[in-house]
Amino acid sequence: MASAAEQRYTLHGVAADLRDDGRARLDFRPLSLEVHLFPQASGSARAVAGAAEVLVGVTAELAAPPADAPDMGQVLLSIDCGPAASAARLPEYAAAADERLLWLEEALRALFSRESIPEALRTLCIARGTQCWVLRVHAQLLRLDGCPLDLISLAAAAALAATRVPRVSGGGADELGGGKRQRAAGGGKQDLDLDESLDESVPFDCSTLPLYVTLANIGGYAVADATAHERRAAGSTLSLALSPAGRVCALRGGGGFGLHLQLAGEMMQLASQLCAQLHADAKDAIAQALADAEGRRWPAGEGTAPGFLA
Amino acid sequence: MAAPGSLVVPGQCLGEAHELVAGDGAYLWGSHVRASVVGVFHVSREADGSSRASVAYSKHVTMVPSIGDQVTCRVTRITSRMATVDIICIGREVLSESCTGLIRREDVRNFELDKVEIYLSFRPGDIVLARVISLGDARAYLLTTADPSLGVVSATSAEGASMVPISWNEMECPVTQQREFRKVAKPPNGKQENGLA
Amino acid sequence: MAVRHSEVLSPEGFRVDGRRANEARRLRLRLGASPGADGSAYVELGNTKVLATVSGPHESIRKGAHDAAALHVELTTLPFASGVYRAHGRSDRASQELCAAVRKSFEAVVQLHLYARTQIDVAVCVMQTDGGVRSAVVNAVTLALVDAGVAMEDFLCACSVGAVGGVLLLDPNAQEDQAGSELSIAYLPRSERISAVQLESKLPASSLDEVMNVAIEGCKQMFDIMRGAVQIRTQELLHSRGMFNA
Repeated sequence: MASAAEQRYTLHGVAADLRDDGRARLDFRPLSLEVHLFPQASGSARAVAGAAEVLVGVTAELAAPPADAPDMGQVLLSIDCGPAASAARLPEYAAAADERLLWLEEALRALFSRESIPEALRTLCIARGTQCWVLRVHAQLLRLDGCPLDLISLAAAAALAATRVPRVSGGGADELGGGKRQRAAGGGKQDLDLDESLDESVPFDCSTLPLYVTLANIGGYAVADATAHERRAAGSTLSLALSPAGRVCALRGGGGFGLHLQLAGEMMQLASQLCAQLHADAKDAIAQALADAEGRRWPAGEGTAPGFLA
Repeated sequence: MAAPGSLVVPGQCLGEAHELVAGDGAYLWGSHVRASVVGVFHVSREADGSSRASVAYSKHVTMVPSIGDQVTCRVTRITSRMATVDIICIGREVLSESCTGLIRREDVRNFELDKVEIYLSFRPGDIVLARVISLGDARAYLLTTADPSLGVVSATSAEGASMVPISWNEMECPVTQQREFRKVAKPPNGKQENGLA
Repeated sequence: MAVRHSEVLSPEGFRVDGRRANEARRLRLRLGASPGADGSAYVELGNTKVLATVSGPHESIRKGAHDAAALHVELTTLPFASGVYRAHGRSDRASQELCAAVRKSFEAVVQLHLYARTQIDVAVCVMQTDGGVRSAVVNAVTLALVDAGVAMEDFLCACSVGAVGGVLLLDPNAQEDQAGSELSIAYLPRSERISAVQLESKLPASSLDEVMNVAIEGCKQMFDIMRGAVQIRTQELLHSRGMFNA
């Protein structure tokens, strides 16, 4: 609930390039990223930016690839709001209350489609036409504070970077000894050798994964990484999914009284300028998180407690 | 037994039932008084000589209106028989989520009850000081403004300006000098206090 | 994967993860893990990780008995909790049953009559499961309620005991769970009362006493850790506000 006076305060601040928390218009909130919090999942990550928190877990399963892309695996996304199931807490995304989660899922699905990360999906293929890995990415929005698209795409990128898919080699019908034998889950009549030792696992390549940038229109100025409070004062928003190469993969916009065409053009220019910095920062953060996770494993014992215990 | 001033946890024994009376944050179980929240254990002497055990928690605990509390509310709807309000503060504590309250026609003031007109006492958007008389039904608490110190404290006129109280039933708009009827709360005497209370 | 008795306990008396038969897993917890909620707690019992948040007491929107608060519990298990993708973590029968059991246990412990006409919402998110989920959930909800300042008669501590081929194992993990029967109890340590008992599969009646005693011992261990953590955290909170000088 924001009163008219509070909204005016936000508007004046943005016009003077000084937001409520002291950031400039195009500054992002400091991000805290942790990976490998849940060893039982294939990959996991937790991203905290300001008061927003997202948890992502990845599980890998075997399946048959779709007929129109026999040499590619799949990445499937699901989103939930938790622990309390009130998706009504999600702000207006030009969707009715019970459809907001679906709206988010649709928006993020574009990031993991065949058009945006074809090379990475090809590494998930095991046997052309018969077996491939399907990575199920689940994002749990623990706390919301504006721009869920940005944070979820970042956390999903981190979780996928931390995901290690076991190397699979096709075996004969009666091979004894050498490698663990496991029945492939969900299809596949071929017996496969799943090598579960970590040295032979294949990391998922996230270098081409696009990330979302959401720009909010507050009083005619474009503001990046708006908090929930600022979004309430904002008229409309524009979210762009940008790949590291600078290509736009998906676009979502609207809200308020709509977006003026000229402003929309300016926002898109700004977003592509921010893109290079955003991807570089994300890459650093993910590398740092992976290094921290490694540091936690050796030496065995404590050190800084990870995740929620920190 | 816990020493006064120490930190206690729920279930911890504070003292014997014949020495202590259970206050806020404590309860009676068998022959002992135990804590029910985590916090600092205090013992206070009551007027009748008994010792009252209470446990004070540091965090802001969500408050719920109880009978006799003075509350600050905002009028949301009026009909000929009652005014529906949103309770926003209890005493000096601001509620994180508002509750619903009801001021019936007969509880607006304490004289000439049959001549009360809700439209001449409250309007939607007014800020009102009231007192809880009953927990009411499932929908709303029952409130009363039948006291000179209770009633409308802040109202905006038709032009949008904040009105100035003139008498117990009139407020004046400073811009147009037009008077409107409200059941006005008597401003406190002496030192001017900041805020609504 | 079936685990046989000889694999459960080695000849030297060590379990698969190096514990003794009467050792519970390490309970690590953090109060106030979710700053936006009125009360919250994150509990790790070995590999089982649970987050509980409490919202309320706030005005109840449903019409019901309004001389006492209504306690509302919801539980969601994340799809990646067990390592194998499982959707519908909120609406399946096991979650519903656990919700109802947790609600009933806490309705008896929380002093609901103090918060008439309100509703207390408890939301639990199970992030990873490795046996002992019921115990972790109950412990997390207790801590979240204490963190929120909701008045309770006592702590509610929970622990489970597995019986595999005549050997009693305290706090079995998922592997040990599948090998034998499991009894989980919720216990009020100060009043020394048992609030809830649940037994899966068969157990010889003669060993019931012994199993309950082992379980109560486990609950007492949990209580010590929980009480210690609550005291430390509250001391820090009160100290930072100048309300308490230790």
